[in-house]
Amino acid sequence: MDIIELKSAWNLLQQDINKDKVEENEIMTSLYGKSKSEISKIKSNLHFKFVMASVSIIVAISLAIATNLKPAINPLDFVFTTLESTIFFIIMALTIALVLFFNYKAYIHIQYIQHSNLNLKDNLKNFIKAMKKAIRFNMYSDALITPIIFEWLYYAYAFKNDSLGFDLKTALLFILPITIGVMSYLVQRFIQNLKFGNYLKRLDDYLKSLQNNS
Amino acid sequence: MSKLENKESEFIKLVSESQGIIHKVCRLYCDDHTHREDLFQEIILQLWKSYPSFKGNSKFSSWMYRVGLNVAIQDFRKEKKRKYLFLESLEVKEPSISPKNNDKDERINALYKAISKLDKIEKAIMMLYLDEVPNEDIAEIIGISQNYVRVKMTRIRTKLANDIKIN
Repeated sequence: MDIIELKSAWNLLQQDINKDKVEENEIMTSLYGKSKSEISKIKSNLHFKFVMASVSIIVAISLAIATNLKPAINPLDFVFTTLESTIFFIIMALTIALVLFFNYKAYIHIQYIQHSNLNLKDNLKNFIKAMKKAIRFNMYSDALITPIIFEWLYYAYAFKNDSLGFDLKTALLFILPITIGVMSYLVQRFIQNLKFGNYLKRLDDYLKSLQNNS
Repeated sequence: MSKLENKESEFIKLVSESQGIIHKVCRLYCDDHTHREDLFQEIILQLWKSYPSFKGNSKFSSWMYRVGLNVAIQDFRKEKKRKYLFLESLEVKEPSISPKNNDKDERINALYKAISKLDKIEKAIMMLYLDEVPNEDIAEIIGISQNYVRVKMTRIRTKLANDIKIN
């Protein structure tokens, strides 16, 4: 099919498209529909994490203060002393705050993409950047939170009737979070790559094809 | 009428008048009816979200092409391994009785078949070219130089011509 034939077929298609036309009220309904795009799903996920993280920080700080002021209400007194519980709550609050910061950065970038008015090349560049950022921050969040929770579980189990010393049990307290953190990061990276790897590679190729000699 | 309602009705009127652009994007990038409906809704939604950033520096149609093509290119749906696009939609249509309609369907079918050989960016350029959008506007919509638009068009023509030779 040469270009002239394509053009004449295109004109036929234009006539055919008149059958697809929708009424104004259908357009209006679409304005407030739910987006099914991947970036919107990521954004909703970030939004959910944002709310959960904010609530968790407030809870963790409140518990740290309450445990200190009134040791009797320490919710972790069956495993931790008052001081240990306070440290635990503060570390959790700080870690979650860091995760919140990552999520916020990714969220803002996506928000910008969704409201921008850029040409195809620049939009693609920003879109890939936003997707990669959201995926990366998701991996960082997991690599931060998971080892901390595991470390404290281990600490509660291994040091219930014991104190810290220069032995393997104490060394594990340092080795464990690093190992779990790295493993968690690698597992997340594998999952994300499986889910979005080919898609992002294709978008990268499109972008490269626009950047060459543009 | 509130400011938002005013803006909304103004937007709906403009989009409704130029909705052919969205339908063309959907026809070119979707391989079944459900996908086409989803993409249509997605484009409308994205147009509405970015409408406040449309300052009227470019034509409304150029802006619609830009947003519509951006959404279609970023669409995540896995492409089905189908020989060529849109046969499904042609299949569900009423059978054409007249030879005139048959010929029309065949030619549109051949168009889909040819365009399905192109990647998403090439499809975008091809669509704009077939819609007789000036080179200057194509360059602005895609974000490349006018010279590169010509280079791209030559490559697309060669690709289509090679495909005909192979077949």
